[in-house]
Amino acid sequence: MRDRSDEELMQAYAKGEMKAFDDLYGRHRGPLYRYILRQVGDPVTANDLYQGSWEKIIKARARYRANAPFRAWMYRIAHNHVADHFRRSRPTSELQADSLATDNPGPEQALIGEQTAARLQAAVLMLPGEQREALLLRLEAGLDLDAIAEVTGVKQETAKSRLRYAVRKLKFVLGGAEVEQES
Amino acid sequence: MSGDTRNSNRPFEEDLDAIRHAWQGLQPVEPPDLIDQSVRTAARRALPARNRWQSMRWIGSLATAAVVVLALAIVIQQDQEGPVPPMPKTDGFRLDESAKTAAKGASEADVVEQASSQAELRSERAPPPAAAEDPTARDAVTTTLQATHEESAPVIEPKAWIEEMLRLQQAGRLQELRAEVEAFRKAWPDHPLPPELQD
Repeated sequence: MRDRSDEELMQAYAKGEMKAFDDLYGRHRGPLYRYILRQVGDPVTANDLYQGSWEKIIKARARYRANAPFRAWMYRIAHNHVADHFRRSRPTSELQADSLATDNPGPEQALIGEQTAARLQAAVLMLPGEQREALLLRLEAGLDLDAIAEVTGVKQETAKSRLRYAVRKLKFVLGGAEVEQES
Repeated sequence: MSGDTRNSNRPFEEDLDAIRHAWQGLQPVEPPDLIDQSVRTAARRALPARNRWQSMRWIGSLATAAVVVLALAIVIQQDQEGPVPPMPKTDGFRLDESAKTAAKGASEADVVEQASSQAELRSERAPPPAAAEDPTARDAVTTTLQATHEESAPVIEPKAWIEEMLRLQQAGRLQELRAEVEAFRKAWPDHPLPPELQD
């Protein structure tokens, strides 16, 4: 028996099938959590925002239409919830990113292992919020440019531009200054 | 132009792949179990009531069955007990009956009381000559006094009664006096009579 699509599961849940929600939640819990955590940097805040996002998704289930891709719809709700959080309070993630970024290993080390990942994580936190979000939607949620544009409420060109800037900066962090100089 | 775009996209895609590769080196962070449970609980609670009550539908059927069984039991029990005696029209009717009985009793008591008070009044006042000489009237008074003493608490106090008897004696109405003395002794056997009335 084939797995039901996200859209089918969401519709089934909206009709009252709890099992459908469990399946849907199992599929998206990790990526959605990381999408939020990598944006805010703080696990406590991330927990709150993650839970709040799901509560909004649950509340909005009746408004969901199957012709809209579920992932884009879900991340749109999460995006709005996180954006509300940033509007209410200045993010502390930049401070944490600064503390992580002070560790400045050489380029050889930066390309391998956990140190690379840690530097990359710090670098992502230092990105401007819009670029960081576009990158996370690509890396964590696996969305394409159209979906990223839809989630963030901008044109596709804008989304593409944000993603390009983000990639360029991260490549600089990962691979040294020569890539940045070339571009 | 399109070739330029492809050329310009190629390094971007390559860079993105490199970043993705490095990104996968991050430990896969997942939400805490507590948050998972909380979200699932919220999702379950948000389900329409009819879905949540679907598994509890038997409660409604059970309640209906219980009501039907109870009603049948009452009907069967009434049949076994035989025909129900006709109920009085209203409770008000029964109240009226009891009120009538009470009123009847009260009126009888009133008659006795009225008679005794009349006798008292008659004995207090100077009796009319006709009445004083009429043995029937005297008997009535005596009977009333006796009935009063027998049926209820003595109406006339001994002191007042003795004074009345002394008045009868002074008036020379000896026959009446004897009757009164006799009645007094029956009513108040332990009460001493003054010496002038003891003959």
